[in-house]
Amino acid sequence: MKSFKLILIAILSSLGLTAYGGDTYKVDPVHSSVIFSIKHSGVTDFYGNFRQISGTVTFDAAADLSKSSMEFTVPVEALDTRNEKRDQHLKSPDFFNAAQFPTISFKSNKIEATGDTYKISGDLTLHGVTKPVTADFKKGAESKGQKGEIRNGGEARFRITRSDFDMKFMIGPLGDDVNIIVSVEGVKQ
Amino acid sequence: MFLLKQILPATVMAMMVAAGVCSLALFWGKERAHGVLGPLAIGIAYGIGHLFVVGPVSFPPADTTNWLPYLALAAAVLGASSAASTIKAWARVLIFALVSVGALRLLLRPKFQYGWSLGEGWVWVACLGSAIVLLAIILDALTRRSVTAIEIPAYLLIICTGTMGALMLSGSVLLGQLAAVLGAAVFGSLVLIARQVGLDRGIVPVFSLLTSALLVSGYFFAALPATSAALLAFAPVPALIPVGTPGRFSSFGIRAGLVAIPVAVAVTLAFLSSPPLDY
Repeated sequence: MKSFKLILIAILSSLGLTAYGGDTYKVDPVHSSVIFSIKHSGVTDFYGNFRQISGTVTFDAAADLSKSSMEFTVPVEALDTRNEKRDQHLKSPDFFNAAQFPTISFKSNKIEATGDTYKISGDLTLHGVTKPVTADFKKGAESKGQKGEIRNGGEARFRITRSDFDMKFMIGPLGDDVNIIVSVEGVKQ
Repeated sequence: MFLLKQILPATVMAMMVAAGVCSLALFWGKERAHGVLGPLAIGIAYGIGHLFVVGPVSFPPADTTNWLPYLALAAAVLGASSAASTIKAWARVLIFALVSVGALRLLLRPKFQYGWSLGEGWVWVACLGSAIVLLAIILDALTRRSVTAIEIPAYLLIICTGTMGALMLSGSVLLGQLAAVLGAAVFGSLVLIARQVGLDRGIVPVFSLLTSALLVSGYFFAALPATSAALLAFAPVPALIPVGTPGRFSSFGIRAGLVAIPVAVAVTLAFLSSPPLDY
């Protein structure tokens, strides 16, 4: 009788967790991208990316969105603009200062539905400065991977002003506004 | 042209502030003026110039390089007070050593956080702190041996110019700009020469600490070669070599040339080992 009660509690607890916490996905770095663009010489944008991203997403649109959350970490050393000299300069104290601030991180604090898409608000820590940002998030479709694992994801787009993050070098020749796209694919845990 | 636009406002400001503070020396007693106003001029001018380069700085600053304006003021007060009082030499060295160790601990926080073990970090701090104290002792000896008012500012300007060049070549224009600001502060203090007053030992803590901090930042956070950093830090050493020429200006010229040699080598090494920013 006692073991039956324990089993019942365990089942109810796991149901409760699913209902309130949503599904948790671990970011698959191979199929996720972090892309940024910034205006050069006032002409047009050039694009760069970070080759690595890690993090977790807990998301369940059908349940309570307030229980959903997203956390990402991007190593600055993974920066790639297809030009080694430029990458080295961008990692220097003039810009990202990778030796002092080796990671960029984001932690959501609010997710709300806006029709087919979502607004994700959270804190972005870049160059040692933490500021609130809001991203437009478009959810992807759920699918099964080659090993039968469940995959899901989506794409977030937002814009930051780099001087807000104390990254003020070369404003003029290089724009102050930076457009960022974070496209993540996660594997259900 | 962009580089000039980026560098000029801060350097001009630092120069004007240093010249303004030093101008007080023209209206104040000579003995006290050159001891107290020299370090204050350079410290305050550097602090203001630094803020011109990077903008407002939070406290505590996230970027440890932004401790430099605070350190400049602390070192300036230390330099001014040691020049105005009769503190014993060993006590001055001890106080400066403690300030240097504290400054290095603040500057190298990210290395303690992400790179080194605690023991490894403190070994680095102790070694670099000893090097800064050694540089201060060398500069102190030079201030006592200088024969013309322009001698010490000239050596400091040569070192600042080399530090600026080496840092810019090592991938950080920002740190190079800060070295330019320090050079501009020293240049502004040339106002003192109008009364044949040289920069005396009071400026030693300010200059030693700021130059070393810039070189340490260049080595650990940019790509300044260790050899370049060491050559720039100890560039004043050849000026201690006795020069057997009769004229005081010719002997100063030779000593300035000797200081310029390691500086030129340091810049060349930085040029050879770092990729230019010509993308």
